[in-house]
Amino acid sequence: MRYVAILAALCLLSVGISGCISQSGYEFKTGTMHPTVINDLLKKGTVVLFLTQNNCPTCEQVKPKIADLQSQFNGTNVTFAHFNLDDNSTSKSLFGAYAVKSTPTTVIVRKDGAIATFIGDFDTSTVKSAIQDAQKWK
Amino acid sequence: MDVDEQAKKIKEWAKRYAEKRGIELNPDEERVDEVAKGLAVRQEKFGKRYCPCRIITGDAEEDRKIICPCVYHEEEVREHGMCHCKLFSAKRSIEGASGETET
Repeated sequence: MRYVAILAALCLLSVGISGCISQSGYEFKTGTMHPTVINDLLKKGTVVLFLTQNNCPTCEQVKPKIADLQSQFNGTNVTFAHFNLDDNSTSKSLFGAYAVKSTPTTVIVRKDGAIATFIGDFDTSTVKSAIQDAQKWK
Repeated sequence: MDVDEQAKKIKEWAKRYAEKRGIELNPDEERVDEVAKGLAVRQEKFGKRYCPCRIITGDAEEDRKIICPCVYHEEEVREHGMCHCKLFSAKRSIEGASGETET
């Protein structure tokens, strides 16, 4: 009986550890009030917002990653939208809505409005997984 | 002073600053030049050397925090190996300097 209990404890521990290791590195959070322009895009499905500003070297570095992801999700229900803070007032209101403090910020918006936010440079496979997770949401 | 000249001066300052603080400039010189230019453009436009990857809020108190070297750079270098703009890096290591993820 004692061995069974130890074995069960070890199993639980290993599940816990593997759960930690397999953590995705992102989390979808609810409660964001989206601007109308984003709510309109959400009607089609998942939205990926790429928020940048001029003279931001990291933004330039991340741009090819976004382009790569965009091509991978071409023809799906995922809409990619790029907003530059220095371009227009829509961008300014978006930066406020998502409380953006630095660039680039990439926001994945699930159809139910929950968001996962990636600040700065990112691992493409992690962001891809987040987009795929968001796509599963009906 | 034009932006390129200003950027050159900023780069020289950043190098001296890094040495003094026991950190380094990003070994990717092209990247350092880009950040220095971004800083110079902001110096020219706003009169302060605001980090080019951070948002200027218009609140002087808040914005003071993002004048290079910003209040965040030491912690970022310690935790991520580089500051957000990737101007400063930890000594002898640039590996694993990916961006931050907000969860």
